[in-house]
Amino acid sequence: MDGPRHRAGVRRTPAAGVPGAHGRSRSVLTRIAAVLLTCAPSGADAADPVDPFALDPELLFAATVISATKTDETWWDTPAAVYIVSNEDIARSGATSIPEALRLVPGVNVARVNASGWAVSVRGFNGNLANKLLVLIDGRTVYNSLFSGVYWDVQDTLFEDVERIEVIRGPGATLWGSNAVNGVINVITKTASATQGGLVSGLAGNEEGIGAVRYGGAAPGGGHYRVFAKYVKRDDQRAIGGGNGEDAWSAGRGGFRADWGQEGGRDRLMLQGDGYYSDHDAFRPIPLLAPPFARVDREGRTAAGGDLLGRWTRDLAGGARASVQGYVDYTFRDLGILENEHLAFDLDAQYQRALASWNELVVGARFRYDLDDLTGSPQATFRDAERGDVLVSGFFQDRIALAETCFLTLGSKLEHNDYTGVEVQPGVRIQWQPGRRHVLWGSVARAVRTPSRIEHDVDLDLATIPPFEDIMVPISVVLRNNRDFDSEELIAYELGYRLQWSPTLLFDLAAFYNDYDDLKTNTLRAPALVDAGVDPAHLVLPVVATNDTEGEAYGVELVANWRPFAALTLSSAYSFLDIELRGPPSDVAIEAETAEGESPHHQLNLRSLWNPTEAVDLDASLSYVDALPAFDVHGYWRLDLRAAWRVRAGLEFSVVGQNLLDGGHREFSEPTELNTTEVQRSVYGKVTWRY
Amino acid sequence: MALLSGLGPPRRKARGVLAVALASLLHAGSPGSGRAGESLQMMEQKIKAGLLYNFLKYTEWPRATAASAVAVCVFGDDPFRGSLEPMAERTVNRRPITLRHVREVPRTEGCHLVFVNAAERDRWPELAAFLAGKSVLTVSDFPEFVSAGGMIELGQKGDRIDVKVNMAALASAGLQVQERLLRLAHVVDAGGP
Repeated sequence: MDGPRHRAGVRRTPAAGVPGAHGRSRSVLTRIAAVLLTCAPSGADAADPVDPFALDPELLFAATVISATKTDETWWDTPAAVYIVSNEDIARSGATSIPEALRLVPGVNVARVNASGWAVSVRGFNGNLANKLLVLIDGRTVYNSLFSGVYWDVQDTLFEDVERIEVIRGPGATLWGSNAVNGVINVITKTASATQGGLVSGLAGNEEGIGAVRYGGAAPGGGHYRVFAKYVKRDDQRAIGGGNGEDAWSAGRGGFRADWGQEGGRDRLMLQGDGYYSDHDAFRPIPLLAPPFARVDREGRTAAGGDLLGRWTRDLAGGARASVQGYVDYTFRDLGILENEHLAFDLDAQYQRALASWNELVVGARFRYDLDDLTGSPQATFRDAERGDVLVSGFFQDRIALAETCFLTLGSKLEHNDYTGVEVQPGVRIQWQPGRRHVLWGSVARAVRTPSRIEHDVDLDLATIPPFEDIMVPISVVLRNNRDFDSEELIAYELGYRLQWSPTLLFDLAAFYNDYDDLKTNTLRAPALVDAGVDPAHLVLPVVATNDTEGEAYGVELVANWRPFAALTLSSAYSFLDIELRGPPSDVAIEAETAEGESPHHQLNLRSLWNPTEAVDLDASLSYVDALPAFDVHGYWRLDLRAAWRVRAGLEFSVVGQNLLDGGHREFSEPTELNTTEVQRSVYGKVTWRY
Repeated sequence: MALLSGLGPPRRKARGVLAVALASLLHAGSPGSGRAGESLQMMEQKIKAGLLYNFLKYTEWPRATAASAVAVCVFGDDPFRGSLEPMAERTVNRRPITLRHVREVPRTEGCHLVFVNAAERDRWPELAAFLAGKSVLTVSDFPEFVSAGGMIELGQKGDRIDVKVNMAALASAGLQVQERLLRLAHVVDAGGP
């Protein structure tokens, strides 16, 4: 929702931290704070040093409002590891999809599995469907409740209309609820009033082609609207070790957004909708009980969906704010082995108000109904093909000013879901600003990843192991549903420090220690001989999801940004991560500790954004991603270059080269390896025309 | 860019000049946002706080309302995020400025300027009735403030603050705003409260 959730969970009361107008109770708190936390008070000051009272009226009237200020100010003030990818960052990265735009974010691992698939995770546990990361687009969760995770091929919009992407590392469950375990990604689009007029863009290169149109105009009743359409086509990538990867992908999307009311007004109403499809071919392994024990089929894979969302926000007397959001989201996906149709209804209400000048409370409630329908195949059967699930939750978050420069945020989510019952996800954050140039923060929070249908409802034939040694019959490995599978749990401890070294140099450091328990483990059950006469005699080896692995992850993320000249920005992000897991041995479970080797230890990104003249951008990005031993992925360097020229108002040409250092490299894997391909060098040109 | 515009620069006033320069340079660096040095980029609250100060400076109150200090009152919650407080350290036409936070209509007695928090728009008619006939400059940033009889409305047009001045309301309060400001603002004649 527009309020605190989009802002990493913590919104400051305008009055909080402002001297004066505080009652006696606050001074008591101040004293407690001074004793307990040595939060030394210091004079409040606003975020930028321009003295507005020294300016001539002509200058003031001509001054432009920093539109991103609220975000940025919130970012600076937030006691969490937050990184904002701005609209400009996206444009200048040359990225052509949302996951590609996340490569520059510290603590985030983005790996392209093939032309249409990405593995994206925050602080480890990456996977084709990384299940510990919650992703929202304008307040709509796109987390898939069949497999747990995000299908990135259907998460897209016009990049020119994206206001920013907020990436929160660390748990966000206190506000967002289950599955916001290791992080939250919020894609926030611009209001319709900010995207008026027409836009046409065309992109063509050796690996892809993209066409997009958007038009924004006035809506009846004093509002604004925009409509857009986008088409993406991606060429085959390279097969591992060379050859054609045969994974070409195409996708189309259309949508709209309309807004009524404006910031500062009493009521704001937003409506938006999307419709999309995504098509690609894939290889599908089919286990057989007789030699050659497996066959590979090639088949088309389709996904499609649509959604409609409305949000109403009202500013009430006394600075209070209430908002209600509702949406319907339909998705369809054909995975070959099964088809999944899903319909979600989500209703969310939030209310925030200052209880006192030093205390702001946010409360919220949510109701969600998920209707999920599965169609199987000989390899996939289900405990329940159709299933309806209800989720009810509520949360509160209270932000207390202990002193002018010290804030305590307490909150908890209380949730009931049909898989595990009640989940409590509390969090405590503290923030100390010893002067405007420093921010120190710390947090402790609990978050859970709740089970999904793949663990509770689905039976799959995974593979056939041919007879070997003294086992004379083939072994059929099958995934069996297990309704005893419980939530995975995290307790996270975080510390952060931000330093404004000088007006042009900024550092942001975050460190974390994550303590995991009840992690998903693929546990082997006792094999049984099947000799019913229909199939050849074989052993069935069942695998079920259990909660038998525990462990820790710790890491550090450092961002340094330097703007030596107005026309040059240099930024760098370094991330370190280590995961230590303890799971059952290999005769009990399949690779219980494999997540240790599925995320890189080291990641580095160096960026330079240079404007030699105002009409020209020259941008470069150099990244290093460490090896993934679990997948036999070697560490790799990646260089992207971009040049853009704004010929005249509204018309821009750009040329982008990506992955310039090698002809192709592999970034990840997936269970069968069949659909993993190499990311190749790509070059494209783009024209954008606004009118 | 997001991070850089979020640089919370140092607080010392001595750095103000540098920051002004930096702000205009930052502005120049963002594509499509205009020519270098054309204008400052500032937080919305700061621009509005600076405008309030200029309204004080360029408005003439009837002699009868002269007091030892000029009282600036914020009606409702303070939306300025701390940007207004430093104004109390300044003087206007050699008189000190006092800042007051007011929640009840009668408490606006003695105010020279009342800024109405946009969230209090429902109470504006009540406040307007109370202020009728008094020489109090009223300012707000809720839409249609001047149409509802307010004197100065702070709106936004594109990325600039748009100021509307209601001449009739000023006249009926016996206030005069100097030409230097009126040239910069949009003058409307929306009638008194």
